[in-house]
Amino acid sequence: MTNKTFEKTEYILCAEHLVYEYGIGTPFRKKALDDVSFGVKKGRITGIIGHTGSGKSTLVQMMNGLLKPQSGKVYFQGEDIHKDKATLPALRYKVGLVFQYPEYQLFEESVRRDIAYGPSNMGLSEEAVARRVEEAAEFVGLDKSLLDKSPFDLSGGQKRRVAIAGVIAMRPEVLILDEPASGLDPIGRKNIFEGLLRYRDSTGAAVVIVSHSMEDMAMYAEDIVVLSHDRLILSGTRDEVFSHADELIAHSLDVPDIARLAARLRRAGLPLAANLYTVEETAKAIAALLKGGTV
Amino acid sequence: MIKDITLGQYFPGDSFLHRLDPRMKIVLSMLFIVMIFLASSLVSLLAVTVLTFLLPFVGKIPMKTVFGAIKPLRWVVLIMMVLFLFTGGGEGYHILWEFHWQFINLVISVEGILKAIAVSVRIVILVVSVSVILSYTTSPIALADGIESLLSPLKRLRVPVHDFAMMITIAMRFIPILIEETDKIMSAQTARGADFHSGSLVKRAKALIPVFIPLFVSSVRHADNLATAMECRLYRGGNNRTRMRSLCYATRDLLALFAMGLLLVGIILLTAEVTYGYLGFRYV
Ligand SMILES: Nc1ncnc2c1ncn2[C@@H]1O[C@H](COP(=O)(O)OP(=O)(O)O)[C@@H](O)[C@H]1O
Ligand SMILES: [Mg+2]
Repeated sequence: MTNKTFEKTEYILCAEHLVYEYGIGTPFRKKALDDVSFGVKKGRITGIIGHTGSGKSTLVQMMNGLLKPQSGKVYFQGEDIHKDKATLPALRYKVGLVFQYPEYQLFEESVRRDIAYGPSNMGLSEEAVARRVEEAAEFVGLDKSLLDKSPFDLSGGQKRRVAIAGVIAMRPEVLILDEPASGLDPIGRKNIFEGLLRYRDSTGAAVVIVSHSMEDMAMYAEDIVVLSHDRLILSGTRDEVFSHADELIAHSLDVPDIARLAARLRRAGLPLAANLYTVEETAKAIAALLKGGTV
Repeated sequence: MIKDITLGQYFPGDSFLHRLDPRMKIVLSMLFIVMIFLASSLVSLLAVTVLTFLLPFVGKIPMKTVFGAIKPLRWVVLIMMVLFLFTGGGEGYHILWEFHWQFINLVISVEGILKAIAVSVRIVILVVSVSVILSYTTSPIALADGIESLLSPLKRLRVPVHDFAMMITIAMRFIPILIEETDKIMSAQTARGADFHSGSLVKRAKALIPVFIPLFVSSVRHADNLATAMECRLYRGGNNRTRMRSLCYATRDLLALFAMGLLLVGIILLTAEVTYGYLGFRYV
């Protein structure tokens, strides 16, 4: 199921046989991606998982045309994004990309103006921009009273949410986030992911989350793409990918702790379903078994 | 984008040049510069040019990289060319073309053309030789150590040599980091619709504000973190500090100095009165 050929229309955004190498012509030449193909579906949350250095950030920067693959193509709604260079700026509003540690890119004097930077560049009217700023702040769960503060006075988690709102305000059809929760505490992480779910649920956009945490992926991703050392090793729905536990472990990627616990219980004779990856689901299933008197 | 700048970049390796003592390399590159300016006859300049382009082979630096360092010079060279080409007047010159109108005196002469070429060649070989002897084959840290060591006699005059060298080291250490950050911030703002490449000059300058402010904030953050880290390790300047890797001259350093001396004498002879009569024009 890796690198299957695509029906391009099935995906809003997809990549075919991407190859990317850094530092060509220098002694620091380094292959970052080798023959990677995958697709993102509308209205779904896709997780891209892999160890540090596996090429995740490189991959997402190709999805909105910031990097051009040395070979391979990226299609947005079935169209090659590099076919006409003049369409790239417009594409970047449709495929929104939030970089890792986006709070380091804040620059305006108020939160409101910083969030407005993207939509203003789109050439929207002032009222439309103002509306989008408030809407984006609501999606990420930023309190209205924060809008007129300086972004540099906020806490780390709040800054992160301001930066994400800055991209959401462009109302992208595909929202891509590079490690959106890294370096945050559990509550901060939860806030971020819930904001993303809200955005997906109310706009039907596709959301792509890059992460190296299996737990987060198990919790939020519906489709998963697994990268390891510049190659794509698995892709598919969450259940499909996690059913290849051996392969994941062979790439030292591991399955979520709770899935491992479920597997052990299953081996011990407990008739648990195969697709349990979150603590809540598993707890419910065990409770049901207990109530049913199977144990 | 910005990362393509190769000038002033260390190229790790294990060549003869790489292994020379940084102090010796600083001295050698100064001598090389002297040599370039002493080579004022056509033949000796040609000889220095050939020597310069042999250096990358000694240092095992790919020619492509060397040409990359020259490329940004093309405008300087062009301006020099034009300047010298049209001001080639002088006593006994072979004049090819003249134009005089009010204060404007344009003269093209054989000697002028030669001078224009010579100046351009000098600029190019100056950059290539210093790049290869110092930047490409010396790590920034070694370079700063070398500078500190060479300047250490000034400590007697209460010049804060150590602090000066430390500042250079830190600055050099952070250049690649800041370049990388600039690149990242520019990409991130491009993803939000920033456009750095089109529009009027004012518009383009304005487009850089979203890059410079985060860059400035992050520089201050780096400085703050570094200061804290140094404080935590009780750093307090140069007094009684020893080094992990102390500099020490080896036979090859003497060898290199000796070779450089021979070359210098050779070039002086090639340029000298006795030879240029046979070998070429004096006027370059
Ligand atoms: N700007 C760059 N220049 C050179 N090499 C890079 C650059 N960015 C990333 N790399 C290299 O490419 C590989 C993939 O990096 P990246 O896409 O950042 O991975 P990830 O996001 O999964 O950690 C790594 O080995 C990294 O060292
Ligand atoms: Mg990354």
